[in-house]
Formats: sequence, structure tokens, C-alpha cells
Amino acid sequence: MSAFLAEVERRAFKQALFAVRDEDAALDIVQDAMLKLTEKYGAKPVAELPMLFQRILQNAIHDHFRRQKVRSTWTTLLSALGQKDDDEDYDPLETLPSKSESNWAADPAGAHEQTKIVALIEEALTRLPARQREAFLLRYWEELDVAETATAMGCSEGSVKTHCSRAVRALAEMLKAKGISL
Amino acid sequence: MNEREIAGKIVGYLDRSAAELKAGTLYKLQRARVTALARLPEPETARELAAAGAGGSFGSRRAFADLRIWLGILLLVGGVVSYQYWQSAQQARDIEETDAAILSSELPIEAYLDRGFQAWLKRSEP
Repeated sequence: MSAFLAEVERRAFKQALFAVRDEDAALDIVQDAMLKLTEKYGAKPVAELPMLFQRILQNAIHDHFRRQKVRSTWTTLLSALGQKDDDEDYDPLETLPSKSESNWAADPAGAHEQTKIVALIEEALTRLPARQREAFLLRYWEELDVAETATAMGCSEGSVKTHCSRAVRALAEMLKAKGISL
Repeated sequence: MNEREIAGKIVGYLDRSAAELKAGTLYKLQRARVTALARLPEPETARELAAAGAGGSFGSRRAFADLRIWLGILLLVGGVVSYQYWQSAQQARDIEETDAAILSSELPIEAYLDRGFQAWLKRSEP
């Protein structure tokens, strides 16, 4: 279980971040999903964990949006009343990138270009319709098969294929519009 | 390029991005993981700890305790069966001895069935 969570936590965080576009909320979502997995499915075989975790994670993201919808009136009101000084909680250490196995920063010009492409891809992902993004990330990033993706998303296999196809086409078009060819 | 190839390239960039997460975020994720693992049901936690090397002899100790219980039960059942066997063999020997004594006696067998003879035996007992 420990090894599985360590393996998926970064991608899970990114998935949540693409959906909610808020780091703290994304971290909360990942933590909730991890807690639910260990509490309810701790005894399940390791082979079943990826699909179960993705299902829980997607539900946690949907729950976040449901809660946000309920609270939207209050948050709008509170944010209008006082502008919070964002620099108060600023911690320069948190902005440091972690040590990574990748050595793509060896060439500064190339690294800059790569960072730019990553930023554009991530931005394009956040612009995708939620179901298309979910299908794309589950199918291609988490490498679930069509049936598993359908189960995790609670839809038919045909819908998964349609969502994936549209997502890839939309991403390619958005990147092409920014002058990036893959 | 087909759909799978485009997706593969995009995923490659996403992998790099995930590998470059900020140290603060990684720390928070690690903390979340540790909290979640602490909530594992008891046997799972023990197994995780055993796997991590913190409780290596837990499983073997438990297996040894189980073995001792089963060994005790086996000995008890074996003892009862042996006692029953010995008792029935003893009874058979007693019957054999009685039969042999009757058959080898000079008195005819009919004499033991005669009531008068039994009454005479009782009277002549010291």
C-alpha cells in the first residue's frame, strides 16, 4: 500500500490540480482519497488498488465541486469584503523545485522551451471539458484500459473512447494554435 | 501522428512536470500518505510494518503460537483414542480368560446354568 501511494501521489495531485486549479484544495483532495483508500480498501489486493484509487479520487474531485457550489455565495461575499494579502503565507522554500531524476535542465535553452511546453499543456488540460480531461488522464496517464476507465468514470466504454479522442484532438489543436507541434 | 502517439508525447511532458513538483508540495504529499497509512486496519498495519522491517518476527511468532495450540489438540485426541483402544483390548482379554477357564474346567457348561448348582456354590463359599 505504501509503495502504491508513493507511486501515484504526484500524478494524483496533478490530476486534482488540473481539475480544481488550487494547490491547497488539490492536496486536500489527494489526502481525502488516500484516507478513504486505506480505511475502506486496505485489505484489497494490490492489483485492484489503481482502479479503486482513481474512482475515489474522481469522486473526491466531484465532491469538491459540489461543496464549492454550495459555498460559492459565502466565498464570493467574503472575498469581496476583504482582500487577503497573499504574501503573508509566502514561503520561499516551498517554491524550490525538488531534486528530480530527470536531467532535462542540462541545456538551459532546451529546459526553458520544455518548461514553456509543459505550462501550455497544463493550461490546455485545465481548459478541457472535465469529462474529456478525466478520460484522457485516466486512460493515457494512469494507463487504465478502456473498461477500467469506464468503471472509474461511471460511464460506458464507448463514452470513454469518444472523450479520449476529443480530448487528444482538442489538446493538439490548442497546442498548435500556440505554435507547438508535438 | 495518431491519437495514441500524440497522447504519449503529452503524457511524457506531464511525467516531467510531475517529477518537478516543489519540495513543499512533495512534503505535504508525503505527510498525507503517512497519515493515510496510519489509518490502515490493524492486520494491514502490522503487515505494512513487517514489510518495512519494523515488526519482522510478528508473523513467525504468531504462526509458532498457532502450531503449539494445534500440537496440544493433536496430543489430547491421540491420548483419548489410545486409552479407548487399551480399554477395549483389556475387556477382550478378560472375556477370553473367562471363556478359557470355563472351557478348560472339568464341570460341564450346563452345570453353570443349573440354579441348584449355583445355590450349592453360594452355600459352600466360606
